[in-house]
Amino acid sequence: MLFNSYAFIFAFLPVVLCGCFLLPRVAAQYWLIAASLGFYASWSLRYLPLLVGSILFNFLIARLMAGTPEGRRGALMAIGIAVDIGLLAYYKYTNFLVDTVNLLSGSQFFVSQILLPLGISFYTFQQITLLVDLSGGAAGKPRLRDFGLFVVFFPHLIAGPIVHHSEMIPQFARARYRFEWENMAVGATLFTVGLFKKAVLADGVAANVLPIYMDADHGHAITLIYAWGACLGFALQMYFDFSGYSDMALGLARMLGLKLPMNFNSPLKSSAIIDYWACWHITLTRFLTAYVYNPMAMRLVRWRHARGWRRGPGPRGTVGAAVSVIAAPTMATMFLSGLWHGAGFTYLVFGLLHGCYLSINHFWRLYRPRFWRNEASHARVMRPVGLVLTFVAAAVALTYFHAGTVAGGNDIVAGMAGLHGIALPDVIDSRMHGLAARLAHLGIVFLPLPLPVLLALYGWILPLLAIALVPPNMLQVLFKYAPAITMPLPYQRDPRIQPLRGLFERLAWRPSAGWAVAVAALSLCGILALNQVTSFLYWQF
Amino acid sequence: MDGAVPDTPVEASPPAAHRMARYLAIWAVSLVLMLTAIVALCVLVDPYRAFGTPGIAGLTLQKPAAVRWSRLSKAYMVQRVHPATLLLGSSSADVGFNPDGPAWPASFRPVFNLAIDGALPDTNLHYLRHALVSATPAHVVIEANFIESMVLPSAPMDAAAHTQFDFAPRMRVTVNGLPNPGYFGAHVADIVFATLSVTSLSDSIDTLLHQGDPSEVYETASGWNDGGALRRWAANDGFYRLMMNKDQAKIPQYAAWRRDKVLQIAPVVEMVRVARAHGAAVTLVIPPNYVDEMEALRQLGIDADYDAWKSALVAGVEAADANAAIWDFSGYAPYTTEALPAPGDVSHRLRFVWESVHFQSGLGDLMIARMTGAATPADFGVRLTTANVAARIMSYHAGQAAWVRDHPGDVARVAAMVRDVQK
Repeated sequence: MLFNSYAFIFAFLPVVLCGCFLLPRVAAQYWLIAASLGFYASWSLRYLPLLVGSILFNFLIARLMAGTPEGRRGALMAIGIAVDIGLLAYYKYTNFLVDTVNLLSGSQFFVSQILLPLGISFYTFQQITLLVDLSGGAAGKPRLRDFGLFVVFFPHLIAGPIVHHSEMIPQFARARYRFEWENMAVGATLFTVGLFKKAVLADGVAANVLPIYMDADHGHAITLIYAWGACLGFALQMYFDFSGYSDMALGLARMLGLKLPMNFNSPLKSSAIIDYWACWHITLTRFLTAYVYNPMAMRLVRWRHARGWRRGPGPRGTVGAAVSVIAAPTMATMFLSGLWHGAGFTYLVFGLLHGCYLSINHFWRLYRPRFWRNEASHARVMRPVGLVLTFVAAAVALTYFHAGTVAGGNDIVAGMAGLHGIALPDVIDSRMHGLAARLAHLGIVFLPLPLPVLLALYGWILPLLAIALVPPNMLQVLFKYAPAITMPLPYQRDPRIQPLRGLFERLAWRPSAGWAVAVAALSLCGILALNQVTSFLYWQF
Repeated sequence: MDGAVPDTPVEASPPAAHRMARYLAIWAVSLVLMLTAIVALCVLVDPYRAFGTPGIAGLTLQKPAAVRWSRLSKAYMVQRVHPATLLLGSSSADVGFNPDGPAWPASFRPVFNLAIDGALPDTNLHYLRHALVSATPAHVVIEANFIESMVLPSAPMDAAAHTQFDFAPRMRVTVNGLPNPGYFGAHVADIVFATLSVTSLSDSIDTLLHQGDPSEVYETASGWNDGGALRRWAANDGFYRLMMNKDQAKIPQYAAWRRDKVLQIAPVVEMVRVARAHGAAVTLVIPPNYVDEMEALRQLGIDADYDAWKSALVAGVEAADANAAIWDFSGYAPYTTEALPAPGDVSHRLRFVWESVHFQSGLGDLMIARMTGAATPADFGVRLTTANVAARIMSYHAGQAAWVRDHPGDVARVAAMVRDVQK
């Protein structure tokens, strides 16, 4: 069952909300657990025992850890994490590992295709955070219903946001589970906007992007204009798909009187890739930073100190320090991030590209003041330049994310570089006589390509770019009602480039008739688009 | 201005609950009103003929979208029309047999064209069973086409194509004739699709905007695809280009078919048996195909399979219903061997066919006249039996040999396309 389906919107959600609001508090919590398990089972009954087993196992470990003195919890934590990672590795990486071994060694090992349990990457990470924090005394003894709901709460179960126990378990414990007009109005508004972003915007551009990727995967050379269209189009599809999902998740939680952490904060407005990752899939960045990057970087710093290498990576430090303390953990973290996103070489390329981007960005921030001292001129130039660079770099990495093969991704990137030439639909030449002859010296050729397809592709890309870059995001629009645990800066104080800023400064949501009609119109579009149900891109993880 | 805006949300005095309640109420009412307006528009325009809303001349009478969604539209149309004659087949019957044409005798009317674009015989069988739940036709006319019996590897579909092509859930019965337990759900899904989707809304608007457009393709209330798309392409690009496009699309399919050589004959025989069991008189039609197709089959070495298919079909149909009439219009005749216009000539049009697969409705009228006993040339179409099928096949090959001998240019033209495929 998808959020963007009739069954979810018109049957599951109303029943769950009614049950939750009518039942006593504790019963409402169990009701939400049962509903979430039902939601999961609607996708796969077969993997429901795996989810339940994982919860019970981690709960048992957590309780045992809570009953053990802090200094002696390490072994229990190691067992818990080993089992969690082992399950994740088995279901997510076995086929990839065997295929890779066969590819590298020429062997013929065979393992039948293992279906990836939905959401396993998300619920595994969330449970690991609890075990790690319990080990360090940063989490208390959980109750089964709080722990269970923390893991299976249906708004975030399948594709995040990746929630932290410290922000959810206390909420579950103190929530009233009662109908409140404000929660319903704010939550439903956010859900509606998310539905519109997914069902109308993301799916709309997707239909025009997919055929180009399929051509690339089949080995067809993609020419410049189509390659750029595919690359930018998918980047926008991904943004509206995933941020739409996150808005829907936040909206659902808010209807129940709960809040999830912010997962997107207009990442395409970022002028640097570091800022981009601070705004894109924020809860994954947060997890990777806290549980992978920081521990790794700290170990490296200690390792260097133990050898007497005390100079750091700053402007007065050494390049070696910058490489070992910043670039190495960054590359390793993004390698894991790529692997977390999917078991395939395309995801590894995606992760490693971002590792390179982030390392270069860190180095730029460290060493740029040496040769470009004027902060004002730097900001003036690099805000717009950085915005374009960041978006294109992220879009190129996402090209590999979406391509079926690395070769397919290479094909599109090569096309973007002009290596496959420039082709336009021949109907343009037939309507503008002599155009082909005038443009021939530029290497532009006219082929029997359908013009409406090209127009539709860029007809989606341009407005989507405008929506992503110009207006405030929905959390900023709903700022006064704080629909997320963590919130972005209000639009008026957001320092990023914002054309037409004045126009949107007063765009704060309020329960007015105008907003009601506007949101109803968005609901209408979302509902009309439901008949062509497509899953969310992040559901595959 | 900036100074007045805090960095974090503050618990501003929350609006009173009644303001939120009013907001949700306005939203709900607005949404219901908008949804109602769209449902009303889609039902009134009825772009897929799913509801049987009477058409208004100049406003909603012609339905271009129904052609694109023929699997959906015909499934519901056939339940309303109670035809005396039911036509089944693929796109050539869909385009070639006009149920409102002049050739149908009064006893055959009303006629409903249940032929489906791209349908294999098992699809036709399923639609026949579905139609017979509510209809009691006196005549069932089945187009049996060799090339439409070829089972080819299927291509993956997108979600929209799936809605159109996954027709089985919306059938009243299963392909075996048992009640379909999923019918109600599929019916509801179709109603929702036809009233509450971006597709139905845009198709409704498209319907309103394209009334009387001669370049548009329409499906009539009796299920006939009026061939508007073929007419438009022929007018714009000429019959030569139309023919070559079709050849270039079909010849690779014939070549691919040679790998497994899977044919559907049993569903055709089953259609005859089912129709007979419901008391209908059955007529089977082997349609005429333009010479390009016959030549491609010869050059690809599929001739023998074609002959075997025809013999097996006649034997099977006779065994299922000894009274069934099998009419064979295939072969080398003036209406299948018209000379092609020159490349680029858009003024000269073919009289009998659109391209190698689709015959024009004028030829369809002649075929209907022949099959229903009206005066037509005696050598136009032959009624096949197990007794004469071998002679008919020999006659076919004699005509083929003569044509090949007399038309080296056309043989070379087809050979070039076959060579391209075999590369």
